[in-house]
Parts: sequence; structure tokens; C-alpha cells
Amino acid sequence: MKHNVRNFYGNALVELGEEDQEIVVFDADLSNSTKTAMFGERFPDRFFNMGICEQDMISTAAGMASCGKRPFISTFSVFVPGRCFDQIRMCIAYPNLNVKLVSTHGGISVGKDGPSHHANEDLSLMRALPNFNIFLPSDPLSTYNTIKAIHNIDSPCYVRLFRDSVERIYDEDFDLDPFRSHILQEGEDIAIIGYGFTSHNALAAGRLLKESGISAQIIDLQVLRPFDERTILNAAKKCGRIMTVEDHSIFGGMGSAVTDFLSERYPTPVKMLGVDRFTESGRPDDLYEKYGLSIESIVRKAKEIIR
Amino acid sequence: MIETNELSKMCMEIRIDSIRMTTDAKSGHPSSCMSCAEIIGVLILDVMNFSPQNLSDVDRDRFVLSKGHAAPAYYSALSMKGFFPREELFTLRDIGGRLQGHPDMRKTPGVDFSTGSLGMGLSVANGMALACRLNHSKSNIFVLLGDGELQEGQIWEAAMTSSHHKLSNVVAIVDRNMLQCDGSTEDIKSLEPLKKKFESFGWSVFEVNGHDVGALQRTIREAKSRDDSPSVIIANTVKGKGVKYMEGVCSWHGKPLKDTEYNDAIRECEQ
Repeated sequence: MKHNVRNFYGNALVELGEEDQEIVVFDADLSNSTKTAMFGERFPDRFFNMGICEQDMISTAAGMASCGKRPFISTFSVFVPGRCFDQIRMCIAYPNLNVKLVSTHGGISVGKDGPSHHANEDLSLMRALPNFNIFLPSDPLSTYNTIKAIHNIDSPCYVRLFRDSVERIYDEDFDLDPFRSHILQEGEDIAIIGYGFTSHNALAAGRLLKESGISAQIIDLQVLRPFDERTILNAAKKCGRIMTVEDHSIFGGMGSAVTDFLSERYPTPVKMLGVDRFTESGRPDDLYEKYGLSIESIVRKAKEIIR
Repeated sequence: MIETNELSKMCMEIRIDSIRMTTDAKSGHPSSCMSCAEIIGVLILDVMNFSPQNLSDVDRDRFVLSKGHAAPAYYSALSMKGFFPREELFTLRDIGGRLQGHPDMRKTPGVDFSTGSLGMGLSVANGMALACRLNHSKSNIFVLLGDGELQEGQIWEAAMTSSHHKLSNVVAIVDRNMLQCDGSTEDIKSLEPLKKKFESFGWSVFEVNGHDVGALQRTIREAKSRDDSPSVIIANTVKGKGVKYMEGVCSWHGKPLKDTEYNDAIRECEQ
């Protein structure tokens, strides 16, 4: 059964709203898509629909945080941080305020809306900002646990969600630590790292590779900062080859982060899958195939590397 | 309420401090401080319920210096108020110091919010006002806007937010010195009719001579007592006010004085 991870974000927000009176939620006219509307219905006094004003939204929420409130802010990944980067930098990151940004519809997952709405640069931008933690949940439990966990961190966090509905990776009763990367399948020929939606394709590719006699370790990154150095280092040592798969630009995204880390600590060949150009309208599955993120593309690339 | 003559002298001290600090630092924006010395002085030293002793009081007032480049004037007023020693003023912009080129809420005692990139302060003030409303607090939120920064679109997004939420505890003051980096605001991108713009955005608008301390004391108190809409005070000022050769001269933006110029400037202000 497929699930929309944003519903689990909405549920977690409502639960946090019950537990903590200081939580306030902001949206910029996309609350039905981001699912912050669920919080808005339950707690109208603590929900602020700012209209189509992303810059104002960020600075207003930061002003609230400076008075002790704990804001969550949502809109599409193409607008936060892109439309309001300076506000995020100046009003949240620099003063290190407790504001949570939860963007939805990351990458090319919005499909037919086209490149104007494909968010392929948000991680590059957010990685450049000190003080921000960055989370990339992959499934319902991963999303729910991440949102509940970041509430306990007194610093800025960026969480990126995606549009596609997905199967569960983790069982509902699994004790999932959102601050760690998780090995979904053991292997030793190549380590394939995904996050969010691409973890699902990486896992499916790993199963197909196994049938072809290739033993791939599949990692669901889950968190980009703090970076789970131990899991990535062990994967590099064990497999000697890494492939990163991300629904984002290869310029400054997760693949870059993995490469930055390994080039200093344990130089390892890394193949980065991701986009390197403006994309186009189309069905998400067709786009994933054309831009090299489909299950078949991942299998093909892995075989090329191993040969 | 501080007696007007005495407060006027304190505001002149803020002006002189700003000149001294920026000359000493060999960088900064003296003329931008000189146009708002009275506004900052009247707010921080007189009108605001704000002191080192009441920072954790939920009902204390808050201030956002949206035109963050007037930091020296802000620091001068904060030191007069007892937030840090006066000698520290002359560490402005020094490495390792607490007085950054633009206000830093994490480094400088008394600074309520970090600023420096223009156009953001009114949104921040709205956020503070909304938080105060949720907390049933009686705080007033004051925000000082440069006139040039009114060209930022975010200011007008925020102006809509203030009136939409009827944030009558927000008082914005515009330092209307008519100049920005590259010239006159009216030549570069005209702001007029400014009063009508704010009125049409749902604000109560006041106009005042921004160097008349008594008028500022009265007008700011009147503005904060409004309970039906946010208030903006257009304070007509002169950039570089107090030193004849700087007054209304655009090229002094972001330029400290040389030592010889400095002596003349201080003498003129002290007269």
C-alpha cells in the first residue's frame, strides 16, 4: 500500500501542537498540498497562512522564534529556500534561531508542472548555511520520526519531503533513529546511497542487481547534516565503490556531500546520479527514466561501474 | 518621560558617538546614524519599556533596527542605557569584538534581532507582535526603517501582514532622509506619495520632524496608543544632520570621516 509522506508530516505536527503550546505553523498558500492545513484546522490561532509571500513568511516566523515560539514553516522546495534564501540566511541561520523549514515536492517529483517547479537546487543552497541541520526522510515512519525528533533540537532544521506516494521501507513498529543513515540491504560490490524517493528506487535496483549476481549495499541516507560519517566510511571501506542517487542537481547535493567527505577521509570512486540541467514537463516515472533516476537506470549504471 | 531638553542633549551625544566610532573604526555609515540619532534616542532612552533589568519581562518593549547600518547610533543608545560599558563603543567593527558592523542579537547585549540585509525588519517586528499577542503580552514593537529600503518588496508584503492581522502594537518609523547609496530616493525609484501608500495598506500614518525631540516624544506615544491599526511615523530627517558639510550630501553614505574632518564635525555638534 502506498502512502503520501506529507500526511505523516501533518499528523506529527498536530501531535506536536497538542504537546507544545509554543509551536506555531506558517504556510504560503499551499497548506492543502504541504498538509499544514491539518494543523491549521486543529489550532487556527497558531496557524498563519501568510499568502504568497515567502520572504515575509520566513522573517515573520523568525521574529516569533526570537520571542520563544517554535515555528514550523512549509511550502514547496522550489520556493523555500529558493525564493527566500537571504531571509533564511539572515533571519534564521545567522542568529541560529529555532525555526524548522519543511519543504515538500522536492526534485522532479512534481513532474508535469515542469522545470519552473522542479526543485533541484534547494540542498545546494541549504548546505551552504552554517547552523542548519538537514533531513531527507524516505517513508512514513522516517518522516514522522524526523518531525518528532527535530522538535527536540534547539537549532534550525531543513526537512525535504517529496510528492510521490511510496511503500513503507520501515515497519511501523521499527525503532528508527532519524539521525542515522540506514543500511537497507547488505552488499560488498558497490554501495548505492539514496534519500527520500530515490531510496525506494535504489532498494528496488539493489534487489534486481542481486538477481544478476551483484551484491550492492543500499543505504537510505535520511540525514545530510549531521552527516553519518561512520556508515558512509564503512560502506566505502567495504565496497570500494559508491554510487549516489538523488532527485536533485549533482552540483552541490548529496553526492557532492558524500564526495567532499570521502575525498578527505578515504578517497573512493563516486558516481553521482542526479540532474545537471533544467528538466522538462512529464510524468514523474518518465522523467526518472530520462534523467537517470529510475530503477532500470540505477541497475544499468551499477553494472557499467562494476564491469 | 525624560525632559525634552535633557533628552535632546543625549541624542546629540548619540550623534557625536556615531561620528567618533566610525572615524575610529575607519568604516561605517556616519551620516545614516546622524539622521536617526533623535529617533533612536527618543525610542530607547525615553519611550520604550526596555532596560538591562527587564529583558525577560514578557511585557517589555522590543526594537528592530531594520536599517542595520545605523548600528553605531543603536550601540551608543544601548550603552547609555547600561547594556555595556561606554568604552566598548570604540571596539566597533574590531575583530573579536561584540559590536559587529551590523547588529547581532547573539553578540551584543540589548539587541533584539540581527539585521543588516535591508527590507526584513518589518516582517520580524510583525512576528514579534504576533508572538506577543499569543502570549497576551502588552509589549509594543518598534521598528526603524530606512527610506531607501522601502524599495524592497518584502516591506510591502510585511505592510499587508501588519494590517491584515491588525497589529496595533507595531509602530514603524521611517527615517525619511530622502537619500540612498546612489542618490535621491525620488530619482532612483520614487517612494512618493509615501503617506498615501501606507494609508492604502491600512496603516495609521503620522508625520513629524525627525530631529524635533519633543515632537517625536509626543508622536511616538500617540502612535503606540492606537488600538485599531498598525502605525507608521514618517520622520522627515536630514542625512548627515548636525554637520553642515555632510547634510543632505549623498556621498557620505558608508564613508567615515578623516581625522581633520572629524575635529570640525565634533566641534560643530558640540556647539
